[in-house]
Amino acid sequence: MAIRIDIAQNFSRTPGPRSRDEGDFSGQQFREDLLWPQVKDAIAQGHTLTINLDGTAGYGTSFLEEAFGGLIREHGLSYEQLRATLTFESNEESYLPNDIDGYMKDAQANR
Amino acid sequence: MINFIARLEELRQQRRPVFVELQNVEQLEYDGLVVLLSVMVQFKSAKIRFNGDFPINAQARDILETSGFFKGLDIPLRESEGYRIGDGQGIVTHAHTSVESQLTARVIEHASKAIWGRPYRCQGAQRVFVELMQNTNNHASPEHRGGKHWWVSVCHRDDGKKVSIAFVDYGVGVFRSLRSKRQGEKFYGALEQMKANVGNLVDKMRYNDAELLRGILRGEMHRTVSGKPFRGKGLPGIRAALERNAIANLHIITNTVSGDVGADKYELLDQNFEGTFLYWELNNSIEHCDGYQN
Repeated sequence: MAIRIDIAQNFSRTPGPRSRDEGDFSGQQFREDLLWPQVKDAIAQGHTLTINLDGTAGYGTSFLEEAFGGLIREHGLSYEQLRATLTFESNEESYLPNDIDGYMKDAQANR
Repeated sequence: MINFIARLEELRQQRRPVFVELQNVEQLEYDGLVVLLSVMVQFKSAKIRFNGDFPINAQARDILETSGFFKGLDIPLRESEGYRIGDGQGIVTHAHTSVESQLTARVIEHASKAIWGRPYRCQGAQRVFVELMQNTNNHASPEHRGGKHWWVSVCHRDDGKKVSIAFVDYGVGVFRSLRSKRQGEKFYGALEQMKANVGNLVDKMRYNDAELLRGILRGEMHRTVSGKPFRGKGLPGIRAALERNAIANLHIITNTVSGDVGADKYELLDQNFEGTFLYWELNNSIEHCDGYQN
């Protein structure tokens, strides 16, 4: 079974900075309040989680790094676990899934 | 302009009143406005007298009036985390210390209506804004995060078909920020490493801060330090946005370097600019997509 998060619909059309203290709709807020609970459930139940990145005003790199790299850094997941669980959709900015994959790899390397 | 800013900063630190003589100004560029407006607010919020006269030249006077400069002179200003100057009829200036992605999304939406006649999203342009606001928040003040304002002036030109955006912060600037890194911090010693990687001695001698800024924008600093390709973060990401046609006509000034990024021309300046200044444009050829879906 596939679970789905649509960032523009379920979180914000205007994703913001890296951390909560830097501004609204941060990557930290997204990860802690929405992404991590869903990722945790998906892993526990053996489901995949699809993240739709389309429909927003645009992303800063820190938001994406904190959200997805942060799953490895802050929640102890591995790159392999995330690769097995997460899939990304981005028709509007096709380079984003590749960038996110790089952030997750870097977070794993820097553990 | 950099000499002018340096002189004003000196006077501000000495808390001396300033009167800016503008009557003989014949040409006022839009990128200069953000400087004039930000300086005015810094003086007035610090309760230091700041005033100026009207340019005789009608066009220069019109730009200043539209920007809200003269209205700003007449009202008291308190020190605040955010400012908005201008009535939204062509030139608007905003200032904040935090990352205001909703505000910049509105700026882009407003610009897109002027450029294309309907609201579009320009994700690459939004990324440029967010990277710059995040940079100012994280790096402009050596004492603490969010210690300095970023300023952005948005001017609609040529019947709205082109929108000029000037962004400035009066932080320490790119080079001072990098050179003040302590051992153990990311990018500590990065500039020296980049220079050390330059091939022969002649090239090494020629490798000044202008060359360093070119290298930073190309992602060479990230590659040098991490050994990995850059992931679109910070200044290289802004250059990448220019190359993807998400913005146009990008210029940057920081510390003693000025760069025309699209033309790949970087040069040393005589005077140090304490901060980072960027100018870019949005026009009808930049990448965009339909507005928000309900």
